[in-house]
Amino acid sequence: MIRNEVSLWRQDGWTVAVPEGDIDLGTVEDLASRIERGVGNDSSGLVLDLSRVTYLDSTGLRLLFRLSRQLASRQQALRVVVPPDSLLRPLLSLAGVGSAVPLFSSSVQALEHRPST
Amino acid sequence: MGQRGSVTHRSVPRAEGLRSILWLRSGLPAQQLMVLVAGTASVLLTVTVVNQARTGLERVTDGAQEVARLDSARGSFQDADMMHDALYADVLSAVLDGGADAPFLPGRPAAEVAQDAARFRADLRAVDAIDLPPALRLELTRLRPVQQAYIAEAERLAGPDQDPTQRRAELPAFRNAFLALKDEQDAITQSLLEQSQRARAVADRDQRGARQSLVAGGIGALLGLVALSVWLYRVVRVLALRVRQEHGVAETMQRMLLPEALPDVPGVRLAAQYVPSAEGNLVGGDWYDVLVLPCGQVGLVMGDVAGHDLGAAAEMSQLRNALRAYACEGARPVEVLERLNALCFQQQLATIATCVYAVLDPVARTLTVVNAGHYPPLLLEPLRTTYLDAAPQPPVGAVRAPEYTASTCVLPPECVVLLYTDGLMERRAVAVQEGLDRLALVAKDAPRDVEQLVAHVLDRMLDGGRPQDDVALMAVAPAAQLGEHVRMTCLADPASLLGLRRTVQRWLGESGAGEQECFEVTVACSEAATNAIEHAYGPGRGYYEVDLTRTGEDLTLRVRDWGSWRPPRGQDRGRGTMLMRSLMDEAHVVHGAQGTVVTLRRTLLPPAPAATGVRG
Repeated sequence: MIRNEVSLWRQDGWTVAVPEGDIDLGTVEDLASRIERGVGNDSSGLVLDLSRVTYLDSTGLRLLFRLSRQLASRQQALRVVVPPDSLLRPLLSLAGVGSAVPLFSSSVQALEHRPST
Repeated sequence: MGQRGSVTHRSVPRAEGLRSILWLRSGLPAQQLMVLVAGTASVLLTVTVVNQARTGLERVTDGAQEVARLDSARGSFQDADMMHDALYADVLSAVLDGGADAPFLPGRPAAEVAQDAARFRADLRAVDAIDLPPALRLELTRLRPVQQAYIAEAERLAGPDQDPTQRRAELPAFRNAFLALKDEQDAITQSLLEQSQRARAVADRDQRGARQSLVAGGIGALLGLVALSVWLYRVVRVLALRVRQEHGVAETMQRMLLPEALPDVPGVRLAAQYVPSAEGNLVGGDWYDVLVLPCGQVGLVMGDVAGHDLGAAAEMSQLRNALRAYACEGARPVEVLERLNALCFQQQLATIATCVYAVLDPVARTLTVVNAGHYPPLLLEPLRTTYLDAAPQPPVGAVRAPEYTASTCVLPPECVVLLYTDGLMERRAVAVQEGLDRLALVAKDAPRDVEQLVAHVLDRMLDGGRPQDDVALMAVAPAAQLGEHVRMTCLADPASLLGLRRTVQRWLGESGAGEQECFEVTVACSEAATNAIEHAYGPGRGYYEVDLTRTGEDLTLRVRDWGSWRPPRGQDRGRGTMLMRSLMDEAHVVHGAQGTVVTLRRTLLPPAPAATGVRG
C-alpha cells in the first residue's frame, strides 16, 4: 500500500490540505479518507493545495468532484489551488473542473478570496 | 471431512525416507537372496572343512614326529645290537689270544672291549633319550639290567688281570648270556621296526586326508567367494542405480526450478549461470530467480538450501515458490523474507536457507537488499568494488521471528551487481574473507557485459574446472537506456501504476518528449492501465501488458488485458476514456473475446519551442 504524505492544518477558519506525490487509483482512497476526516464541521471549507502533487488523472479528478459534492452538501466550500505553471492545470481545464470548483494560483489567494455574493 | 479428520499422517524423517527408497522399495529379487544364502552356507562349510584340515594337519605333524622317533630309536637300538655282537667277538678273541702264545699284543682285546662297551652304553643312552610308547619303554627298562650285566661281564672277562684258564672256563656261561640277550634284543628291534612302519602308514593316511580336506575347503571357499561376490556386485549395482536415479531426479528437479530463460525486463540487463558440482552426486539447493514485480521493479533472488539431496531440492522448490508469491503480491523485501521465514516454521520445513532478496528499480536506479545469512552481493563500478549489506542476519528458517532490515543504495552509472552462492568461493580451505577478496579482485578486471562477466568470474574463481559444490552466479545491470521498444507485464493492481508511469516517463524522456507531452502521454497510458485494473478483472487479479514503441517522433502505446470490461459504474466514471482521447492523437479501445486492447498514438512536437497547452 502506497501512502501519500498529506499535510493538514487549520487557517483562518479553513482547513488547508497539501497532498504530495502521485494521486492515482492506488493512492486516492487513502488520501480521500484522510482529507475528509480532516475537515471539521466548524470549518468554513477546504483549501486543497495541489502544488505538490506530481501526478493526477481521472481518479484524482473524481476525488475533486466528490469532495466538492460532499462539502456542498454540508454548506462548506472547496477551493483548489493549482499554480499557473502546473502540469495539472491543462488537465483540470480539460475535465471542466474549473466550472464546478474555483481554482486559485496559491493557497494565500484561496484563503483571501471573498466571494462577490 | 469427518472421515478425513481421523486420518493421521506420520512424518517420515528425511534420512529414513531415503533409506526406504534405497532398501525397502529396491525389492532385492528372490534370486539374489538365494545367492546370498548359498554364499553364506558355503562360507560356513568352508570354515568347518578348513578347521578339519587344520586338525588333520596337526595329526600329520604328530604322526611324522612319532615315525621319526621310532626310526631313530630303531637305529640306535640296532647299533646297540651290533655292539652286543662286537663285545662277544671281543671277549672271544681275548679268550683265544690269552692262550698258548699270544702275549704279542698285550692289552689289545681289553681296549677293544672297553671301546665297544662304551659305544654300547652310548647307544642305549640314545635310545633312553627318545620318547617312546610306554609298552616299548617298559620292555626296554626290563632289558636294561640284563644288558648292563652283559657289558660288565664282557669287561671283566677281557680284563688284563684275568687268568687265561679261568677265562676259558667262564666262556660258555658268557656265551649263554650273549645268546639270551640276543633273542631279546632281536625281538625289540623287530617290534620297533613294526611300530615304525605302522606309524608311517597312519601318518601317510592322515596326510592324504588332510590334503583332501584342504582341497575341499579351498574349493568351498572359492565357490562361496564367487557367490558372495556375485551378490555383492548385484547389491552394489542396485544401490548405485538407486543413488543415480535419486540424483538424476534431484538434478532434473533442480534444473526445472531454475529459470529456463531470464525475463526480459525493460532497462535491466541480466545474465545467470548454474554450474553443478564436479562430484555430480552433490545436487545443491542453490537457486536463483528473477521476478518482474508490480511496479516495474525487478526482484532478484539468490539462495542456498542446506543439503544436497532430493529433499533439499524439494524444500528449495517450496521456498522458491513461496518467495515468488510474496514478492509478486507486492510485499516489501523485508516482509518477503520474514514471511518466508514464518512459512518455514509454520509448515515445519526441516530446512535452513541462506538467501539474498534484492529489488532493483531500473528507473530510480536503486537497489534494496535484504540478506538472510547469505554472501553479500558485490557492486562493481568502473573504478571500485563494494560488498552490499554485509551485516549478518539470520538465515531463513533458523530463528523463529527475525527482524530483517533492508538497505537501499543508489546504483551509480555503469555498475553491475553480482549475486552468487558459496560454491563460487569454496575451494574448501579458503577462509570467507579470502574468498570475498578474491572475487572482488577477479570481478574488478572482468568485462562489464553481463554474459561475459558471468563467464569470466566463473572461469577465474573455479580455475577453469568444475566446483566441489554447485554454483549459481547472476549478474544484473541497470541499462543506460530503455530503447525504442519496451514491453512490460504488470499485475492488475493499483500498486503497479506508479512503476508503469515511471517506466513510461523514462521512455518518453529518452524519446525527447517535452515536459507537458510527457505528462499527458503518461496520464493517457496510466488511464488505460487503470481501466484494465478497475474493469477487466474480478477480485482474482489478472495481468495487463504494456507495449511502448517509438518510430522516429511517432509513439504507439498499447495496453492489453485479458478480461472483459465491466461498464463504468457510479458517478464521475468514464472520464478516463475521455482523457485518453483528448490527450492523444488517437485512442482506440477494442473489446474482444480475448480481452481489451487500448491503442494510443501521438506524434511528438519538434523539440525547439516548449509546447504548452492541451492538445486534441
